[in-house]
Amino acid sequence: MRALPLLIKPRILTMKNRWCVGGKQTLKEITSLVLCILLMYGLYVSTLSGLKDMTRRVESFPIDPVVPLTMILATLFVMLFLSASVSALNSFFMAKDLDLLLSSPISWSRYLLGRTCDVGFSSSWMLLVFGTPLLFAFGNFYGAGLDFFIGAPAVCFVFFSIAIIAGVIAALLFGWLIPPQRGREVALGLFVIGVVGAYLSIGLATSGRPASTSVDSAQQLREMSLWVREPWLPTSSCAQALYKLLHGTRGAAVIISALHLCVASLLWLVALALSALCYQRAYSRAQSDKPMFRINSRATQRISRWILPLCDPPQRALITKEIKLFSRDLSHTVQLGMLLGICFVYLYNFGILTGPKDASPTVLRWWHAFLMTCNICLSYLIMTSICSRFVFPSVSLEGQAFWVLQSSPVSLAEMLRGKCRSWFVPVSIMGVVIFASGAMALNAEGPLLLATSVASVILCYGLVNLAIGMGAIFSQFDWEHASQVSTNVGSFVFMVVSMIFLALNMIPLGMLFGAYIIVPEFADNPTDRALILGLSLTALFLINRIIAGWALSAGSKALEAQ
Amino acid sequence: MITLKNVTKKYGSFVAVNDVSLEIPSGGIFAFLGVNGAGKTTTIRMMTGILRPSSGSIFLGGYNLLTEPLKAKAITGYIPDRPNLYPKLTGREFLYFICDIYRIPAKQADRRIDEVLEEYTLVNWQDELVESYSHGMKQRLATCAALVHDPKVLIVDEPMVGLDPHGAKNLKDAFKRYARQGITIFLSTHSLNVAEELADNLAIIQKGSILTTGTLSDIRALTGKQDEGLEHMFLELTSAERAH
Repeated sequence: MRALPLLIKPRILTMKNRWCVGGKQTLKEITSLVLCILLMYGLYVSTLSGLKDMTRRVESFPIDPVVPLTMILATLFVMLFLSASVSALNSFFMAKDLDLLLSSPISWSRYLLGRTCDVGFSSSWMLLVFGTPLLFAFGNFYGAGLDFFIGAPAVCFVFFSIAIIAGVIAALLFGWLIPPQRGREVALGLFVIGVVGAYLSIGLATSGRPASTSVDSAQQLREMSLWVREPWLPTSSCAQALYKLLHGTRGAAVIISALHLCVASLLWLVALALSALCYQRAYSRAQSDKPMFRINSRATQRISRWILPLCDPPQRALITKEIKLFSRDLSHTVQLGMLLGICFVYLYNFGILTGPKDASPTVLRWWHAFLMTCNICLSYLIMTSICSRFVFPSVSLEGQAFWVLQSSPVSLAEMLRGKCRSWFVPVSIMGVVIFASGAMALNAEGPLLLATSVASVILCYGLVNLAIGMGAIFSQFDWEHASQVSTNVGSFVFMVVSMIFLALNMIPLGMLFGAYIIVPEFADNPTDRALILGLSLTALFLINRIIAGWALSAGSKALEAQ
Repeated sequence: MITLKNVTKKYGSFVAVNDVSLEIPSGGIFAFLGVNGAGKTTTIRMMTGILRPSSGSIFLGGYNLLTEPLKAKAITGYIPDRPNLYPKLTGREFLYFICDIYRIPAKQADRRIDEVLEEYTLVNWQDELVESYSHGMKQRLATCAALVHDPKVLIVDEPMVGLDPHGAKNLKDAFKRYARQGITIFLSTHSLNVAEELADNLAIIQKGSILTTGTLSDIRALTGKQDEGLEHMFLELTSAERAH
């Protein structure tokens, strides 16, 4: 255990130094902390009121606390696993301090333990922010005693350590099985899978509609609750342990936690065996940088001139650089694959959501408007997570090479605009697919589908600019490995700010869906419908134009002040 | 060609560069000498527009770097001490990127890239990713990038670090040639023999302030040691200042 403090000490000292540096940096850290506390409090209050509201409204459909707990735990577990996998891939194969560590007299087990702690540290703080208020809200709602508030964090710690170790194993296996020089082929494969997945998900979402309208949503939830309560699932057993603690049954919780500890230990042994067996080979191979195909630099330049013929040369240079750096980075392709998977799950789940059985046309219209609004909100959340992974880190990923742009005759504002242009097209395409698929799954009419697609492009425009601007404000050029940038405090602040802007954007969109779907007077008047559609989208564009302008200007000022 | 007027850079209460003024004529090599932490790199980073001075002004080719930064940067090439480049671009792609940033027409860019790659013996590596380059090769590529747009001012920070003897010799010869062609070279180094061999004028910086500036003969006259080399004079000047 002596190596553990040694290996995580640099990270702790870096954090301490960031707080002690004074001036703007400390102010930034304090702002982030305050936002973090506010968000945690907001989550706590909303979960508590949500639980109270649910109990009051659905007395005919009482929900066992194990069900929502299991669903929340499963979501957090998957999030942590994905985040830990990406972080581990960077930490074990691409970190800048690896040469130093691997040449020092540290045993494999100590090295692995130190690195795993580092991965856990960098990937789980968001889970702490989101999970802690939920846990406390549950405890408060069900009137739990001190046992719960002391025992639950311990139970969760053991449970989530399984996700972190599993993430480390996944990264070790990935590094071992897929040579880094095949990164682009992997990217191509993921792209094909993504396209096929999107196609299938749209098919799934649309084909089941006529049949599913007769199915009661409550029934589906009931069926889902049976599935998530499978006792062999760790998420289910962890929820059971928390449930027991809620009711003061300490013994059962200890047994379940001990079982989780056994699973974590077994996984740890697997990770240890895997690292002893393959890590050195995988790391050595990761250092052999030759790509499978030789790059023809003249051809890539000709292609960029051909694709962007009207583009100003510096803008073309910035855009092609971004594309090349992104497409050649293995960790980006892995993250992209994972996010495409999440999109697929989202679209599939949205496809099975239906209206209440035997409801009146008025209720169905309200339900439809509600689901359309939900589609926008949830799709926006997905786009936010995509932007926080890829667009937000874009400025920081210039890294130590930022001097190239700083000393060149391109203003920082132009550089930020170049980055926005690079990301706007792919993010918008992804956005249109996600937003429109959701709308199609909800049987939206043609004009409404079109409006959703246009709205998605406008929202993506605001979001990309916001991500680049915030990425510049919270830029961090001295990272150890690339995944640190997308999991830093700035990324969290970006997500919080984007939520605030989502609320702002929902004003014209809520008006659009409300007037278009709910108000029957509009149904017979195409002129009024077109007018409300045009007005809402114009208002949406203006809001996002202001967001974009503010974000880029603030980002540019922040970079100049550095 | 290069003018620094009362340039100061402060980090909180710490003064990294204190009231530095320099006047460098065009078409020569100016060596900027100093011990570690004297303020050389900070001065250079201000001259390249990476850092903003706390006060004072910098002119490159007559353009004020603070009010006309893009014009000043357009005539400047910069070779940093640590060649951190984009690892996932090939050497040639990186040079194309620089050419586009400096708005060099396509045909001219192709020709200039061929020339600089040839000159710095990177032709065989032009289609390899930069991450596979050695330190010396990255240094040479950074030099290519600084020269590909035919700058009037070349700012160089510790150029010999990481270069093998052949590379170092070639670079020194190249600097002499560029100076003859009219390029103004601002060369920061600890390597006193390099400065002695190349520089027409020099300045010594200590604790952020200029100790002395002029030709080698001027400095000899100042120290009163006509037969001594630069190393001896440098050590004497900086040691005397340290003692204070």
